Amino acid sequence: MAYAVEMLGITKYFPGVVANDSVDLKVKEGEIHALVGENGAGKSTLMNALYGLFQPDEGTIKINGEKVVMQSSNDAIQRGIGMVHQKFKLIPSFTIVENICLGSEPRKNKYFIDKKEEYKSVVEISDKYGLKIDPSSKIRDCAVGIRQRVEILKTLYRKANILILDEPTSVLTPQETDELFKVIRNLVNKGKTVIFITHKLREVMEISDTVTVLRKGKLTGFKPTSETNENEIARMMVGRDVLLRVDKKAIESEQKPILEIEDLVSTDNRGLVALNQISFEVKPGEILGIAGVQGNGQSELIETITGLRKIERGIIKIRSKKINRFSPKSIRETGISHIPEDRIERGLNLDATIEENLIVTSHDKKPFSSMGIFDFNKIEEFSEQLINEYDIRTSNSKNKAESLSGGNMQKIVVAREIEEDPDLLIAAQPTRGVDIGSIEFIHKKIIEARDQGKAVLLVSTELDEIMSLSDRIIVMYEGEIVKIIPGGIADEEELGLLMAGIVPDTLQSKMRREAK
Amino acid sequence: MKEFINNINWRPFIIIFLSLLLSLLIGSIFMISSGYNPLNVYLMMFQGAFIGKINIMNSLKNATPLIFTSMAVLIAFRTGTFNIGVEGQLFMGAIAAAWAGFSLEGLPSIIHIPLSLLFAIIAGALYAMIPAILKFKFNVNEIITTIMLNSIAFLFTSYLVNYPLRESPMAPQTPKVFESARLPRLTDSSQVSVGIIIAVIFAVIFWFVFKKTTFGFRTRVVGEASSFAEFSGISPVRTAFYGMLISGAVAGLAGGVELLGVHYRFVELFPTGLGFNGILIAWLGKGTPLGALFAALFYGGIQSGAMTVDWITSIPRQLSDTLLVLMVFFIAAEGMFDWVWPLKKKFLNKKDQKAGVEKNA
Amino acid sequence: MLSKFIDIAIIQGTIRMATPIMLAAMGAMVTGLSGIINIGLEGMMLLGAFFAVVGSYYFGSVWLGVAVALLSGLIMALLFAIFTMKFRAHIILIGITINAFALAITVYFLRDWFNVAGAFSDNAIVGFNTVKIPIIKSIPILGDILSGYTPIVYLSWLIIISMHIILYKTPLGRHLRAVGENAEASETLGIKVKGIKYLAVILSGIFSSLAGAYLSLGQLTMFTENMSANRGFLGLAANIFGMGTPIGGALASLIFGFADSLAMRLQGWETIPSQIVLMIPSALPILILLIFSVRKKKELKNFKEENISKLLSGK
Repeated sequence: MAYAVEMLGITKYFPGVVANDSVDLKVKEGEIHALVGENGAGKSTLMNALYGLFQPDEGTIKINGEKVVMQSSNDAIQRGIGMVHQKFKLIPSFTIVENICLGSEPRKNKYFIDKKEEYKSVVEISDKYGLKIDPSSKIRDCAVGIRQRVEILKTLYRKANILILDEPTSVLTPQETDELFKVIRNLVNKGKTVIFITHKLREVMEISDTVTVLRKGKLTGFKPTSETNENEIARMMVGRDVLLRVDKKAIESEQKPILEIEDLVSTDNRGLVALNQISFEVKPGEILGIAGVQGNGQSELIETITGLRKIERGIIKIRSKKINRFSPKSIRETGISHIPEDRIERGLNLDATIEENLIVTSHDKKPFSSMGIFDFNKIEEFSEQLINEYDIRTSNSKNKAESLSGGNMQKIVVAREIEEDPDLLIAAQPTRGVDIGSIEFIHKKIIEARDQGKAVLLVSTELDEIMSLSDRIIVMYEGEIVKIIPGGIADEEELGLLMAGIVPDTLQSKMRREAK
Repeated sequence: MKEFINNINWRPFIIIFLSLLLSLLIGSIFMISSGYNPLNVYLMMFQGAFIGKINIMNSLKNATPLIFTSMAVLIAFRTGTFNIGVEGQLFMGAIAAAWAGFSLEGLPSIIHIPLSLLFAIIAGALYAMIPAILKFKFNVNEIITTIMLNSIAFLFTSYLVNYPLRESPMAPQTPKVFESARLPRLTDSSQVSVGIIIAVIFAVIFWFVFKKTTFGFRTRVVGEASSFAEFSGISPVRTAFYGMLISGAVAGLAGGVELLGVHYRFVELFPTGLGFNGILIAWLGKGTPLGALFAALFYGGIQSGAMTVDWITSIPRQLSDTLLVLMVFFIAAEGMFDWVWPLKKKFLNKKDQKAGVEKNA
Repeated sequence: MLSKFIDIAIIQGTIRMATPIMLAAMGAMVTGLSGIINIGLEGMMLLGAFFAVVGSYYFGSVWLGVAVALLSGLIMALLFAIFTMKFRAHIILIGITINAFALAITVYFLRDWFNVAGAFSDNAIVGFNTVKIPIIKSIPILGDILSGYTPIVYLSWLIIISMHIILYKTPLGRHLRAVGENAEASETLGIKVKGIKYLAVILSGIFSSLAGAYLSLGQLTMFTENMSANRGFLGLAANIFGMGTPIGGALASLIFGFADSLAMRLQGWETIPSQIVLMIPSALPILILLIFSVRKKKELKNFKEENISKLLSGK
């Protein structure tokens, strides 16, 4: 069978990283092709290149055997490629028909929209491919699953033959996912080709004909799905890198937990449930790692603990004291500090100086200020000390934070939060986008905090990081805790499965043995 | 010293300078078209603004309310709120001061003046609280609400001076405030009062608060990076709410000082535009209290300069407003000067190369 | 009692007073739909009023007066668009600046060109005559209500109807609405976002300067200082009150026009001060925005609770 898409030797550089390193992707006509990899593995880069959003630095792209150069997404659309983005691009107040036809409306009398015609053609397409919708309902009244169908219909209306679905199930309920899979099969039966981006292994096995696996920008697997299994894909996805082993002292004996969470429920910004009755505790002197694919409730969990998100149900206690209704400030004052996952938005004020960023959380306390007036000498002294201690590379403590590299920015955040001398340190993605030297440094600091008897809650999508630092590991999937396991028991493969919501048998027996 | 010069961010100064130049250039076109030599007119204007006691006093009188209103705009804007309602808050402050001034009888000045000003401050703050609550509790955009509240303030004060507070059937105006409520004048020959001193003190206080205090720091953090502020334990909503209240209070004070210092009574045709010009002045001063202070003094000067020009020539005094507007137009349009920066770099590089060559030689 | 105030004259007054607000509301609508807040409508209207008189005075033709007014509106709109979109100027500030500019420059030119202060009227200024529509005028009552206005009144009706058609029946109108709601999505579908925004700003300039021309050549045949008197802002309010639709904006403008007209009737009548009536147009939009916001908050809360209780009962 002929290839619908051939991407050969695709290489794409971004400042400081190779996002795609000589990657091949071969998609047969009429198949469902799963493109798998962790966050940052280079899937999106590859697909954006195919969709014409940017051009690869090296490599060739062939569509239906013909070599093409795509200047823009319009070129891609013309060649019959359609993409359903993870973030929908819809107009809420428009009806489904209006959204589907937006930008390419059928006309009558040259100047007017032919509303009958557009309605008719939408109904035709939706019938043909079995995508059930109510054409005249408004998008803002539609559930997420329906919105996604509208996005798929949008590509079909523009006569796409090759559909790229970017993590389409990440926003769907299991039932909606089943529906989507029916639709995808239907599309393929009608002769369309589907590229399905995901990191959920169960879905790969269930829906795809062929699977391509990327890891850190490189191709690590390309196989018919029938010839592989979840374990193998997990291995190709996560890799077998030698872990950076960190020397740790053993956990101290049983102590009262610092953080206790009971049956916690909270919602995301759209009002959908993000945390589904979660319970766990963190003890002094331990690092509790929270693993999981991004978007499975970790961000909401951290925001809820730190007072940035409303607690809907359940209880959060710090040293046995309920903090449910505390403000972010009073939560900090009970002894929690927080390295946020988004350092640009949450962690820093890029317009402010390094000094200001270092003291912001305690700017209203001595010695930095008294009676509301700053003591700039003290601030400078303190800042220079931290700049030295944390090796923040800058010429002047009064430089703006935006002048620093990612690693140095992150060191400001780490320095500030650790210097608060918290009882509980929350570190969310502490090393994302940071150079290797800084990673090691930040890891060392986190271990130090633990060894001083602080409790550490570490959230990371990097399995390496979770495995090498954590004393215990929680794996989250779709707002729930899949499993709480002691550190050092599970291997990458098993963790990969857990992150997809599957509890592997091997792990069960290991844990039973451990318990004995 | 050299390092000091290098550390200064020259960009705003260059933009202000170029804007001033462009505005004066456009102003010249107007003058030439009326048959005057621009250089003469500008000289006349300068003399009318800053030469001679009376001129200086008039300039100060013009600047007084604008110093207040520009501070009011600044504090709100620093927290990320655009207070277009300064105009209306000023009206409310003025009428409150007028009421306190003419209805509380028998108080010594030392009590009557501060008390009347306090009325003005409270009236302004309360009036600013309406858009503040709407914005921070109900998420209603402040732009539309403050514009509407301005109209309501005009109509409300007009109602007051036409009906309940009307002095006589003759004219829609309140009675004059008692002597004890009037701000002492600095000279007999002009309307400038101690209000200018209060205004300058306020500008310095604002500078100090912005520069040295934790509250000033918080307002900036909230304005620059609100979700970072929230994360760090600084409540964006509370800080911005206080910012708006202070803004309204200062706007009310502007009205109070203007009324007790210059007009002594609220007339239906109380001067409009002081609030909106405050916005322009704040921008002209590049968003800093001292910048705005100088901008207000500068513009107060231009105003009395334009008045002089008006007397001597046939060029209307609205020349001052026109020039102000043009300057703000250009200063606001930062992107207009984008071509300047590469030029500067080129120039500096050449200099560096030259220096390098000299060194090598 | 009520009949003392509601008669044909007040309805005619309502329509006359509503016309400039209506036109400004259309300007606020097109910009608003494309995602732009144009505070400068007020200034553009004032300049339109001034230049309509200037054109009419120099060319001796009322339509050339309108043409000069429209030209001024076009230029101001282009300045607004270029400054905010190309030169990154603050959009609200530029609006305020345009208003201040209009206020200053019209008085300046009034003195510089015509040597008058405050107001300019001259026999050489040609104003609009009222037009009676042939058949309609002979219908009793309705004929008096619908006929006998200056041409700009009819033109404004035409504009409202065509805006309705353009917005809801043509691709251009649909694209305009899409751009304001989700510019990024529109861009990916090949819609020229910037072009549409420029177009919207230009239309708003034309509509508000036409409103200005109506004030100075239609209602009166003179220019007075600050003649627009907040009507541009009322246009913004009418657009909000009309929920961003042409018909809604027109109806809101009629309500505001009625308030205006009623206030005039009440002048000198002691029990209800006219100022209180005139506050209605300014207070209504605030109220509307508040109601919207409360409703939206409640909806999200209900949705959240529904999801949570579903979850908890499921277990």
